Amino acid sequence: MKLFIQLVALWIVLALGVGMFGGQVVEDIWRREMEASFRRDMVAAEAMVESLSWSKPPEAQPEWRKMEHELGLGIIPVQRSKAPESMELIWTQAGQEGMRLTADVALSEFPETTQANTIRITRDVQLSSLDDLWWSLWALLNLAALAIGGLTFFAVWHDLGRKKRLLRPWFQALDSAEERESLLPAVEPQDSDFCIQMDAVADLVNRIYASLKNANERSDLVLGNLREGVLAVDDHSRVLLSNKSLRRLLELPNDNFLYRPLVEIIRTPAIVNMLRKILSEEVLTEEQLEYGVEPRHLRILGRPLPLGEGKSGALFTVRDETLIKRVDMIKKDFVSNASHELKTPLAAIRAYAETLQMGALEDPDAAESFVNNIISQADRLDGLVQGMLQLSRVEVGSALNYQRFDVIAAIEPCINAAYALGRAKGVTIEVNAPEAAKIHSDRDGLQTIASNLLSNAVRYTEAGGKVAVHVERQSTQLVLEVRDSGIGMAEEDLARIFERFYRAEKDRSIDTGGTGLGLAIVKHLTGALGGSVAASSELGKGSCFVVELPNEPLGNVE
Amino acid sequence: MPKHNCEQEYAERRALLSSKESRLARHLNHDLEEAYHRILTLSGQVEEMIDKALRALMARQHPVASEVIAQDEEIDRQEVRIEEECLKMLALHQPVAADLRRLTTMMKVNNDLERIADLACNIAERATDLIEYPSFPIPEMLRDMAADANAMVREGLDAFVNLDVELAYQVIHKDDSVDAMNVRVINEVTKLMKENADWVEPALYSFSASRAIEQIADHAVNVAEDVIYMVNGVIVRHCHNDPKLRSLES
Repeated sequence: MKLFIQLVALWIVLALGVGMFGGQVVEDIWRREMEASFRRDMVAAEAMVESLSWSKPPEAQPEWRKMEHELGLGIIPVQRSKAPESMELIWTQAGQEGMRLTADVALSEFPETTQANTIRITRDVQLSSLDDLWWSLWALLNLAALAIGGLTFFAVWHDLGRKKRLLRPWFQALDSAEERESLLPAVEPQDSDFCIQMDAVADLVNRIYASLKNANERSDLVLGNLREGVLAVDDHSRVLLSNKSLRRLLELPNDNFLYRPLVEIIRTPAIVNMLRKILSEEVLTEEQLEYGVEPRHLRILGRPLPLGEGKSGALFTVRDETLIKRVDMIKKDFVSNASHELKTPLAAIRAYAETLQMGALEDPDAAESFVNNIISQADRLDGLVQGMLQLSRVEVGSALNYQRFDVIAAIEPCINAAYALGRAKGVTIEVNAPEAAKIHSDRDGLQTIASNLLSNAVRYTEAGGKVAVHVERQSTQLVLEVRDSGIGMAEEDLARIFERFYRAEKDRSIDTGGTGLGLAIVKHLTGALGGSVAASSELGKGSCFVVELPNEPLGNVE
Repeated sequence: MPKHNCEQEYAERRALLSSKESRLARHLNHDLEEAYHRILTLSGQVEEMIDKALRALMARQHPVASEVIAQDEEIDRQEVRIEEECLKMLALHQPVAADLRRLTTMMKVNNDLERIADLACNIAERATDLIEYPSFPIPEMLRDMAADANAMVREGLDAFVNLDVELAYQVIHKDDSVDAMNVRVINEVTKLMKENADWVEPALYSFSASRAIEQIADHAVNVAEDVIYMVNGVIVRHCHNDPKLRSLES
């Protein structure tokens, strides 16, 4: 557009210039042309005049009139004192809009009858022909200027990319004064003060940019690797910053949500209310909530975030306390279960003792039965305390005593005890074991594992049932399998049977006499000996426990 | 970073929905944003109510059910306030095109949210009734159905927030599975009623809860359809021949 206006202005200036100075030039050209034409016609007229007979006055001759008409000239014989030596053209005014061109020509053979020695040749020219020529030229010039302007405009805009490069100096020259100033460095010598200062500024900007970029990357790295979620919000509740942990904990898509209102991202009322409270009252707030599809226990701490200029946003830190809560829950369960297990035999002992005190001592039969019961409950209490101590020792790892021993000989007492228990209850025991199988492990530990599994199997199998023990020494490990046809367990119980005091029978209606610690001890012992224990069960059909222990301690394997 | 140009896409869609520059239009945009954020806050509360109601039902927790019932009054108050604001905008600014679509969608979503909150209350009431029948086995399928309906509401509102038409179509598509689960729950409940005459009453409560969950899913579908209308200007309600839906079904 700017270029177009410039072209129009150029055209107007050119047109005015042509208008002012072009008239004189055109008139000169026209006069010269008229004079040349007049000279040609004049020579012809002279030749024709000399060819006349002059027998009578020329005006009377028809050829004379014809000649004047054909050549467009006025020809008059005149008497001059002296015949002109050379031809002279004279322009004179003829009327309002005309000019007359006159020339005198001396004749070589002058007829005596005419009394004249010269012919005067004249031509009248109308000035309107000059005007016509002038306006024609003016129009032509304008048309040419328009055409050139249009072509230039078209050429420039048609292929601006290429033309711009070619016409750059011209564009630059046409640009405004401020823009022309911006071109100055290009023409400044490179060692000038200006260029040196500009280089210094550019270096400084680059250094600042690089250091900002590094700082940004460092803070991103730190924030990204924090386990706590971090969220910063401005005074208009728009997100300023969020890290990867926050997105993971609040189950958000992987986006930084920059400048998006928080409520569009997190709609949880607890968090929205926290934000509102922090922004309006500028106080510290704390919330604990269950969040997500698979609920996590989150602790959210919110505090005011000063943003400068008197503005204040909010900064949230989100911590996942699911594991802590779980450990806490297990601890609570343990205390509750342990106190329950300890309280039951104590209550029984107290009841029997009170009954004895209240007069049962007088009845020897009843007294003996009560005392036996008191001893049985005390044994149970002792077993419980022993179990807890053993579990504690196993956890610490101080109870292990590695030695080379025969597995079959080691577990024989356990199998015999199971035989005795099974015989009393009507449960068959089947043993499938090799003659001897030596391993390098903890003998007492293996005995504890076997006796716990066997006593459990007999305890939870009803009369007429069967318990099968299978021992096999493989190349690297010993496999001990105890399978029973007892009451079995539901799938949800199976996952928790190795927890301390966990019982599949929730209401503890079946008094099996166990402490609730046996399987926990088995699990910890096998783990300490470098092995593993697995359980499978079907409700009403029986259970199977498989223990795998390495033949050699883990550090001794060649 | 692949980044999927989430932000850019979101910004473009928002720009499409708020392209006015005049001063009046700026006021309208401001009011629209305010009402929009109110709806989002409301939706957060409604989502929490559904969550609690389902927990109260499945875990038979009376205090949680009472919390849900107590919350309903506040939801009703907010719904009325948002509707009044929307009506005021309609009267004052007389919006057209995208603004009109956005405003009408907000009014409809507001209404759906209030209905969902009422249904959550119904579930909480049924949960309270069922506490008196501890031996009645609440069908396990109800838990899956509730989880799906809850996810549909969440995703419908996510689609509303992010103007995500794809997600909205997925929500509509999910409704069929919730309907199918409802039929299975009703069959199971009917079987329980036939097995034990004492269970007729709790079975009817379960039936009612199942129906409420199914209706919550229907309202989530309404929200999703409104989102499609707001973004594309196309009404897909009752339009079973929609090519997008048919492609999802196949």
